[in-house]
Amino acid sequence: MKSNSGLYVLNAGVFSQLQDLGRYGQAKQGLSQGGVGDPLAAGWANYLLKNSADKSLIEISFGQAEFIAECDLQLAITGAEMSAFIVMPSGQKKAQSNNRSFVLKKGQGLKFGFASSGVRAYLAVKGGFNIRKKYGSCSTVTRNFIGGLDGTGSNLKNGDRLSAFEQLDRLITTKIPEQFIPDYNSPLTLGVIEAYQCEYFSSRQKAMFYNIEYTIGTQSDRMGLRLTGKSIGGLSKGIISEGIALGSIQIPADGLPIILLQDRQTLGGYPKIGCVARCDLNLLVQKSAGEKIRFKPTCLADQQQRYLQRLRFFNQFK
Amino acid sequence: MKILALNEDCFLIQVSDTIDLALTDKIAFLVKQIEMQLGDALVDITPSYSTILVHYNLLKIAPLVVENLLETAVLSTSLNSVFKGQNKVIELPVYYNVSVGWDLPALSEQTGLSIEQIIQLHSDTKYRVCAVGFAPGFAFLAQVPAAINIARHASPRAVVPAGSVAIADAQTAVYPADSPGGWQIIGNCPVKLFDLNNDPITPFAIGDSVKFRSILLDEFLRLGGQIIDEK
Repeated sequence: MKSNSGLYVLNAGVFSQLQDLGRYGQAKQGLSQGGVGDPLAAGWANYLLKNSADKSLIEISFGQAEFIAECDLQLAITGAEMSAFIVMPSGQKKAQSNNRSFVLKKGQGLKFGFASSGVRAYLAVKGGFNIRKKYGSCSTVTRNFIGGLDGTGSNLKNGDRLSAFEQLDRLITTKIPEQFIPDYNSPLTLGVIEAYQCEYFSSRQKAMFYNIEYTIGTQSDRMGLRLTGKSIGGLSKGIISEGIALGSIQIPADGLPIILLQDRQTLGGYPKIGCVARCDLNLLVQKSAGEKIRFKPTCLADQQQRYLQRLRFFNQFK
Repeated sequence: MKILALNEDCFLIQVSDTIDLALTDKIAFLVKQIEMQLGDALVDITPSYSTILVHYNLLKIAPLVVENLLETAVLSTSLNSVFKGQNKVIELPVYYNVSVGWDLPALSEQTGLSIEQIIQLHSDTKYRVCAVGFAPGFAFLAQVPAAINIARHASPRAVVPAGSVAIADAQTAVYPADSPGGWQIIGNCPVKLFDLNNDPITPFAIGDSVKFRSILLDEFLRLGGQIIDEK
């Protein structure tokens, strides 16, 4: 049943956005793809509610968001740990753990603290939110003035109202099996599929690249992650601007890698050493500035199998 | 020609490793071929000066099948077989004036040409759309006559106003929206080139031609143009 009520945004927190799997088919017009930063966590959130993988959800970055249910809703929280709790109309509080479906009754609040592990949490609702899509997606890409609640690329604001489908059927609580819940604090070594201009980097530069422990820089966002650490040096020559695949690792003249993420520009002229394996990217976006990462070469065919398996799992509900 | 696997679901076709205007016809043609052959197994396609990024759906088609298909498409497309009549010519009005073309005086000084000569050279040339990207509706146009080639600003401006017509080396472009940018601004085009409510959202496709028409202030203002002072 369609309803005008749903979830009321009492506090949008540090920043929260409507996202789905991204906007495709418009790259040749220059539109960024956008989409959830951590498709694994977002995939689980929809899975827990038996939603199809493409349903819209809220990506809460860094935390502090607060919502109120305007009708009974079935929800799931995944991704970063933000110590969520339910606030009863009486003011009484009840902790709500991640990684399981639950019911938020009409009039109850759902409050998130600051992220203590990971960066981005996902709040999904049974059936997804009722958002008008632009070019097949509601993904918010601020830089492109597209997506989100009003279609113009705004982040969620206090006082926004997200319409959802009222859920009257009984919820059967589903949980993510413990062994599939990632520990965002564990050390991360990213698999690299060597591609693009990889052969133009000297073996010394490559050896350095795989040896250095990099730190995630503060100038990181949904477009890309800047790494700091020892420079491997750049290439002597620029390249002709070309399409940038998700997870591309650019090495500009300063020799410090930039990993390009969902909101990246469509074209770029910096040399690239390869791409981060898709199944490792979701762990990367959960790291915050100051955390360390490393790289290691990986085999494309193995990564394709791993990614395909994941796609099949999360695409089982239509 | 090379086809590179970039990651789990993307290939990059390197049609050439140099910029050659004749390539844009071939690339535009190939894009249409690939769109037709991959159908709904194609997720996204990003053509540029000399490359095409092909993003496919791993759930719908196997990587090897895609690679074969791309190889066949490229090999069967010779420059001669490309039908050239399919691309359009877009005419864009430009108000070339120091009030909106902030870098005209510097360009005049650097090239030794008068502002009138610069305008003449820029608006007499027919450009090709070699790529669309960087920002929505930003078309990379070539080839700017050598006499008015000028390098980008060493440090980009924080805001280049929407509509700014600018030069960077042998390329020219119209900034579709306010954005940071380092290209040298010589005028302003009052026509909106990026509208999310239109389909397609921009008039440009790779392979199209663009011709600029010099207009006077009253037409510029009538078309909705605005004079914005440099901050």
